[in-house]
Formats: sequence, C-alpha cells, structure tokens
Amino acid sequence: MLCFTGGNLAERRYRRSGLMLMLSYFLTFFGVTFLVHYYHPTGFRLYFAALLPSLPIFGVLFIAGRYLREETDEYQRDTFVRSLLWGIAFVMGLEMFLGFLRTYGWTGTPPAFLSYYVFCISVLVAKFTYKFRNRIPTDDQ
Amino acid sequence: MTNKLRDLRADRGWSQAYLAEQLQVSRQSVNALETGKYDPSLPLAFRIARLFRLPIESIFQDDA
Repeated sequence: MLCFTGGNLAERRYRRSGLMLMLSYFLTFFGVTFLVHYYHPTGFRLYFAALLPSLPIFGVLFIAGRYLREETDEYQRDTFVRSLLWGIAFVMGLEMFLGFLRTYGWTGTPPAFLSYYVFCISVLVAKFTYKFRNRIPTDDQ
Repeated sequence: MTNKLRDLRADRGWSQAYLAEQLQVSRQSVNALETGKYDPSLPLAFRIARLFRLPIESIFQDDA
C-alpha cells in the first residue's frame, strides 16, 4: 500500500482509482475473452462484449482529466501533461509505422488495444524519466 | 530564466521541505525551480515573492 501514501491528495486519489480501473480492465478483458472464445456471440452481444473491457479504459482517461483538475501543484501538472504528450507521440509513431507496413504489403493485424498498452507504458516511462531527472538531493539544505 | 531561490532559501536557513510547505507545492517542485528545470507561473512567482518579501524581479531574472 506504499504507493498510496506518497504525494498529495489528488495524486493518491489518481493512483488508487487507476489501480482499481486497471484491475477491473484485466478482469473484464480476460473474462470477456474467455466468454467470446466459448460462446461466439454475434450482433448486439458481440458489441456489448467489446464495450465491456473498453469501459475501464475510458475510466482511466476520465481520472487523468480529474487529476489534472484537482492537482494544485503546477509542476506536477506540467510533468503529467508532458508525460501524456510522450504517450500520444509514441502511439502516433507506432500507428504510422504499422500504417506504412500495411501500405507496403504487410498483412498482419496486431490487436487494436496494443495502442493503449504502448500509451500507458510510454506515459509511465516519461513520468519516471522526469522524476529521475529532477531527483531531490538527499541532504535537505 | 534564472532565479536566486536556492541562495535566498539558504540565507534564511530554510529546508526545501519547509519552502515547499510554505508555498503549498511538492518538494520536487521546489527542486525543479531551484535547478532551473521549471519556470513558475506568475501566480506562483508572486507567492514566492510575497514569502521572501522581495520584488519578483530581484528573485527571477530574464536571460534575454
């Protein structure tokens, strides 16, 4: 539970909600994948099955917006927005690369949710890079 | 933009944590300001100036 103790109220709320949403994403993703694999739903049920694991992802985007609204520390807000921009840049780069691959005849179909994983990992790496570059000195003076 | 935040803080014997508490920001923010990695917004610059009881231009200098 250490990850809930650091930072201000907005940061702790963001991390707690984010963890719960990621857990619910994995549960719905694996649950729906299992059900689709065995029951082969069609029509409305298939749309509903696809919507279920998407909801926690919308939730993650919503709590990111809420965090930006609640965060009072402008430097933390700034690094968070920069990290989000890095995430968007990596996703766009990946999509462009895959687009060119298809243009040149590649027929592979990577799962659509790969973009979201790339986005999350890029944002995390960017956040930790900013944190590392702005290491707080051990002596307090 | 450069600033004299570290020197002013040292003159008063304040820790980064104390300054962060007074400004109601994180210690990371204070460190980023002191090392020039982040330039504060006008409201934060005014808060800093009020805390040190100095005019903004004597704390922050424009490099241009």
